[in-house]
Amino acid sequence: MLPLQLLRARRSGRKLILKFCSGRDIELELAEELISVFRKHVGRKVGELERELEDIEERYEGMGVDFKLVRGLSTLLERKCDVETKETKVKPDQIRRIVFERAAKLGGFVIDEREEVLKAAAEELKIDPSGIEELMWADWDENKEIKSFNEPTAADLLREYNQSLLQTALFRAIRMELFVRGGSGKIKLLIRDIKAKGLMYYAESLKNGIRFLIDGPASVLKLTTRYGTSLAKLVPTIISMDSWRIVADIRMRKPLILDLSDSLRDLFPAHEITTVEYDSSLERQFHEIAASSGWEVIREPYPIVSGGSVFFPDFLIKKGDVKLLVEIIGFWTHDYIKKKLQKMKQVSDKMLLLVDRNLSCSRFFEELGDVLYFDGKIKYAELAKKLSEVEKMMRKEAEVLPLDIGDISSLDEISSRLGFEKSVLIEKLRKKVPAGYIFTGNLLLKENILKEVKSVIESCERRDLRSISDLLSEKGIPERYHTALIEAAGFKVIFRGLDESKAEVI
Amino acid sequence: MKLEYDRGTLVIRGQYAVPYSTWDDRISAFRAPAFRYRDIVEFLRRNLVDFSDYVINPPPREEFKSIPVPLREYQEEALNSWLSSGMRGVIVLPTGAGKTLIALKAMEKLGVSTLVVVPTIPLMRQWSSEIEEKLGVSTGLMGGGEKDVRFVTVATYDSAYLNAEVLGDKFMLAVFDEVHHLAAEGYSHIGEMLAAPYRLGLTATFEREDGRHFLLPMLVGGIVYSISPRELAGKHLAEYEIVRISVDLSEEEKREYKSAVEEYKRGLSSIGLEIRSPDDFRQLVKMSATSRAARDALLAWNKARRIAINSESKLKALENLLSAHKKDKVIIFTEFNDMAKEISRRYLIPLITHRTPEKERNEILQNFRDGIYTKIVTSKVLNEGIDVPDARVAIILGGTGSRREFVQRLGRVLRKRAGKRAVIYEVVSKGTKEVSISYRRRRGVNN
Repeated sequence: MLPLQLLRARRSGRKLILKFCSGRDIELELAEELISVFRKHVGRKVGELERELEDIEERYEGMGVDFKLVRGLSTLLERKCDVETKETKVKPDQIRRIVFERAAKLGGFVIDEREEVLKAAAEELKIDPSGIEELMWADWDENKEIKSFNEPTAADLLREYNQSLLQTALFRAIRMELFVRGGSGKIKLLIRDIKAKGLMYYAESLKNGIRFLIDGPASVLKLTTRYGTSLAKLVPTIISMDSWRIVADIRMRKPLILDLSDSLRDLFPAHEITTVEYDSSLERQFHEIAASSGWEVIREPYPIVSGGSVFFPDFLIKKGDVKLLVEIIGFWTHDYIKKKLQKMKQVSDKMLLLVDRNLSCSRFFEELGDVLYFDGKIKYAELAKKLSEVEKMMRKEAEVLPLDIGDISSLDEISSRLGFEKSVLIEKLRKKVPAGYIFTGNLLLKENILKEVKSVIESCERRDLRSISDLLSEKGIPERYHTALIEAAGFKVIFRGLDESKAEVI
Repeated sequence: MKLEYDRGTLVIRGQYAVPYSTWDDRISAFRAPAFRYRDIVEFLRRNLVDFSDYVINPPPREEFKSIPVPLREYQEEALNSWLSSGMRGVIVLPTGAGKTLIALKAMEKLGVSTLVVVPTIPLMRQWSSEIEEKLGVSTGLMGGGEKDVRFVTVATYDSAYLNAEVLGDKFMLAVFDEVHHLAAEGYSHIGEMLAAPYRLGLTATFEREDGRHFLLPMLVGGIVYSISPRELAGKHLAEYEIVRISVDLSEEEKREYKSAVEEYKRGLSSIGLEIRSPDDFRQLVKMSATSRAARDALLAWNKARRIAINSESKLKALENLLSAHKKDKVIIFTEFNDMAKEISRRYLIPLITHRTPEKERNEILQNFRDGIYTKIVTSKVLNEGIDVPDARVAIILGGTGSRREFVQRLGRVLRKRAGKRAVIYEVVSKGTKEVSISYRRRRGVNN
């Protein structure tokens, strides 16, 4: 990150365009030269380095290079230096005290007696009088010494500069919209980072990733750049995602939009991020036990976005076509559990929960899915038994539909109620229809209903849709099924215009 | 209904909106700025709404002992006026008139958790030791590497700005020393993010040149008491006189000055800008970010100013003044660090800049108090608030045209001392822009 004065950008309409270094020859040349100047000054005074940097700035400005680029690169290099006051036997402040005290005795200031005072002080301190002036101010910034310099390559320096430039622009951000794609581990890190920086997010699931709107608590009250620095600090994590795009609202003199994406990936440093290891020994235990009972275990399978926040199930386990999300709820604070519950309520997939019995609110979890309680440690026998129970039950469910579908339902209704894909449902129904039911067309209905419909149609004198529909309604059959039912009973409805009374049933 | 604090804001859970609050979709609750805490509570009480209040979480309580020192008449008036204004508002008193004591009495009276916000680290230490001595509690410190929150905590503006989210729910009373700083764009967040219902601002100079002091009534309260240096001079503060000394530039300086001024004018005309007001000048600074001509003009202006301010003849004038005040305690102020360093180097006068280590600074000030040192030189560090007792002479070598700085520098020598008349010398270069800067400064004070 650089001081805001060193931001290099231009405006194009409402957009803020950052002047990144693309690695042109002159940029590389400048970077090389700066690096070598820093290297040359190891063991020398900061003041000398600064004077040389000023020369370089002027020289490159003559070649059309922005002085802000020179200063930006120098700023980054300065941070790679270790600067210290030169080690001496007598400390500068000690020398100053003796000198000032001596001068104080002569009225608090000296003109003609200056040399005398310095000489006497040097004698008192037993140092060389000719060097006393040099030592006396050795701790002033410009007199400090460059001890060491951690040298980057020119190309790396330019990449670091680009990242810093992006961060510097974000200092003035009032909020950031972020489109990312990445594995669960990476997204989890990103969210951890967002929270650790005191920021807030609102997440939305997109076809191709997740959209985050990131700002801070007070952002809802007024447009503020207070969170700009924190947003800037997210940059290293963001650019390590598999795919990313940043759209930030920037407040300069005018409101501007900063919009950039991983198409610029090569301009930035490549960050190695270490994804999260197991949160707890409980998770490791679970993994071992489940895997040894023949399940395929996938840790943090995919993030589930719901109600603006992101939920990471601990595991997805698979055996054949049986799939199950698993969440381990260890001993945590009440607040944490409350938030967790809130999030989990929104998850529609089948879940197994392993809950610490010592949690005061453990019973709340029973409405969310199957629960296995444990005491501090997960026991092999208990978990293996539970897993095989759940597996058996799921297989049964997969074969037989629950019987609470009522007298009559359409496929759409069932699939949305049970959370099955329609195609999966059709496949299941083709294999087996629940006892006493008929699967026909788009409907699943009790056998006796179809008989009733047939007899209603046959006994009706008028053959138009309106009259038959009225009779069916009297029997308590909702109107939305009528046409489909008539056809299921073996009749045809022929429309002649929009009027139902003119539609013929044959 | 339930009120909670969340990182510089209030979260209000309940069926109805309350004033100053906004619906926050991210948490499905209402949110309001923390500084509206008092307004919201008062609103709810007025309207007989049942609510539970979890906003303030003070550090462990500590008891204050009572302060043995009585207040002066005007200090008493100031305190009463603040108390009767609902324990909100700003007290405007000249430097050296004892603002700290008023704040301590207010703290004693209220006996609540208190945050004191001050501009600099030395001031932080100074407040901290005053509080420990007079109220008998040890304070938490935020700033200069310290990060410790206690029942009474003293923080620098910088540190309070960075930690506003964390500090916001800890204190019932907030005291802002040199409260004009609070109106700055960044620092105003401190005022907004604190929930403290009681607030006291202290300053010698309420107004800011950028006009942002209009924020202070909202963040702290309006002016509840004000008294000018003239009203106190002689009675409670030392009388003072201002002596202006004009010096000529040397021939060489004159030449350089002239050429720099010409370059400045050329630059201005090439970008078609005329400087008639501070706004015009700000425009030039803005343009210098993108226009090379503007940048050159600005550099030339700086150069001219440096020549005028740092001129050799000024050093000669300084020598004369020092010789005339050999026995007196003198503080020398300069505009730039370079000049202060040069004076220290040349005349072997103890130097305080913002980079002077704290230990050395304290030692120098202590020696000055004890009369071991009689002269010290500083750039801008001593401008604000730090107690430098009983200097009789101030010499100002250059400086900017701002009214505040001048008043504060004046304050340094205005400490009440029996039978003493303070002198302020202002050394300016003849025939340079500095003369008009000095004129502006004095006008500010006498108004």
